[in-house]
Amino acid sequence: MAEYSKQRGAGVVIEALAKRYGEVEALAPTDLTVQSGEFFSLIGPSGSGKSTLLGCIAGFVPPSAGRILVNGADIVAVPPYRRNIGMVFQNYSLFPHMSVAENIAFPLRMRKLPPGEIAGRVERILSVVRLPGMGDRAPSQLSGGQQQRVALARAAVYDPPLLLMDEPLGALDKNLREEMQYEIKQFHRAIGATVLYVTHDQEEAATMSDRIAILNHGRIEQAGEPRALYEQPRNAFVASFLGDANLFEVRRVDGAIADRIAVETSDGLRLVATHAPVTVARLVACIRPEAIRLGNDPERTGETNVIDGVVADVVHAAGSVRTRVSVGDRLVTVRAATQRNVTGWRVGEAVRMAWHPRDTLLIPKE
Amino acid sequence: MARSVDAARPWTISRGHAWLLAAPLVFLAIFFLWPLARVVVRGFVDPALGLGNYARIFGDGPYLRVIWNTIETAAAVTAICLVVAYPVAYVMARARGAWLQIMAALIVIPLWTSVVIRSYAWMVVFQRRGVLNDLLLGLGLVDTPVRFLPGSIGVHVGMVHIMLPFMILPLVANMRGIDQTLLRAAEILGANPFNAFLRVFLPLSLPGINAGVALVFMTSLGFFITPALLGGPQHMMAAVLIEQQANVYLNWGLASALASTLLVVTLAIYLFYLRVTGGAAGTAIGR
Repeated sequence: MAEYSKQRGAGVVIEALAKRYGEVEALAPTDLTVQSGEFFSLIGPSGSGKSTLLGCIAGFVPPSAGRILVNGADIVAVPPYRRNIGMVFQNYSLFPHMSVAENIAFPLRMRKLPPGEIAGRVERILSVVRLPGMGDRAPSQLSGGQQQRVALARAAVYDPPLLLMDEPLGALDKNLREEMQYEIKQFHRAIGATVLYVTHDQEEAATMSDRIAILNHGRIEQAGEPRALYEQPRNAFVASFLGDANLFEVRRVDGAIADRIAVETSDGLRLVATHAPVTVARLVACIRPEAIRLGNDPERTGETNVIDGVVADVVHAAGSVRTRVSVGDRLVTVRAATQRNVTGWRVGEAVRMAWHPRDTLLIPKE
Repeated sequence: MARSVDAARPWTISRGHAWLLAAPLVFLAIFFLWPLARVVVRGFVDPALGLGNYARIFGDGPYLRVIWNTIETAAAVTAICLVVAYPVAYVMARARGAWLQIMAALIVIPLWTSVVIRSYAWMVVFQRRGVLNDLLLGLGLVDTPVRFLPGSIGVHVGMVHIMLPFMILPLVANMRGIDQTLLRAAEILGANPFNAFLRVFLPLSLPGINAGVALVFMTSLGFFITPALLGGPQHMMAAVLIEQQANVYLNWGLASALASTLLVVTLAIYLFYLRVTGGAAGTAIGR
């Protein structure tokens, strides 16, 4: 990455921001604080309100209520063209009738910068996004990845303290997407702006973000660092949205001895957890696939959760093997790193699953 | 946008299917090319071999003035159509559902009515004791009826009315293809709505403008019924003059020479236009 004038990102505070379309609540009153310079992702299924939230910040969606403070100033009443926010769109939205350089110069021309400075800035940012000398090309002459880099350059060339990205990698294929994730991270470090990143890809969000907010039905279910969300999901939705999760509905809490607590699931399994259960009516036990170990020796110390099942299928993916074990009429997913010279389990084989009580997370169903 | 470029690429005919064109080609040869060739030839041989007819046209007579008036009228009609049609198309391109259907119907339904009837309708409006004069007299704006007919106002209004759909429809087709997020992108990048329109929407609508302008201008050059009914001798257009020379004065040679001149002028303007717009007019019509 070339040298680039780094500047401080904006702090963003969202207060009770809401959007209603008639009877439909696209965004429930929402509070959110994004730190200066943070890479913050909004994830959730389609219709979860993440795009509405981004649209409100960009100024395309007038909120029904609430405030959006950027560096302490409320921008709700400010039209988009005076917000000084950068934005990258899913389909790049490069102007097809302008060259790459003209596209990048556009926001600078709108700001009436002198032509000499515009040319210098365009050249500098083209080298930041590793497209030097490409200024005269038409956007249509570039590959998808190159177009996205031009879009990044155009969104950042005027040093906006806040950069919005709306599924910027959605149109790219998997390999290119992973490469661009890395590039966007590098770019973020180079420019220092605060980034608000919308995606429906939880893996992408987990890879790139300092913090993530998971949205569902127009509200933020949980916000925090990717690892914290994975290890301490607030509810079943968060647990299943971020990574894979084996979820068992809890029918009855049997009682606690010391820090152990035994529960019975709706399919009659007895599980042991270390957590004190949350005081809500409906609990779910969540066990991550990589916490479960497969074996056939019953004497495994410390692992008080033991369930017997039959191997239903085995899938070898890059670097890991996913085994699904049928227990009664449900499937439990187990994931382990692929080991050299160790053959996996065969379909139809009887197998014993075991895991430590601390890996049984008791969380509210909703 | 790359996809729309692909869509604009003309399809080609495979050799095995070229015979499908035989029937229309024979038809065109018999009923278009042959008579056209006879007209061009007649301009040079009737009543006598030579450039006599062209000498008359490019001499002192009224002929050159009529041709110039034709170009001027066609240009004015095209300009007015563009100015009126652009905002209509802009609104229509954004309309959805029932509104779009209503607007489309309002534009297409007049096309079902014959040009003759619509031109007569304008006569009813513009004549001495017509709707417009009644209104002006009733409001006390004038003391005596204004003499609109025959004259240029009627011709212009009538022609604009008839040509308007041919400007609106290519514009709408083009504008509906313009990606709306480009305008959002322009705004978040710092362009106020006026600049977003001027620097993004307007340039992207140029193919539609080119198509509409070419269509309306070329058609207007050959307009006959409306100027014949509303124009009179003060505002004569080439087609009316040609018809008069052929049917009234039986100057077939002169009429042929005039028709050839109009054809060459039209072709010349079209080629010039293609040159200026970089061929966009031709491709835009094909869309």
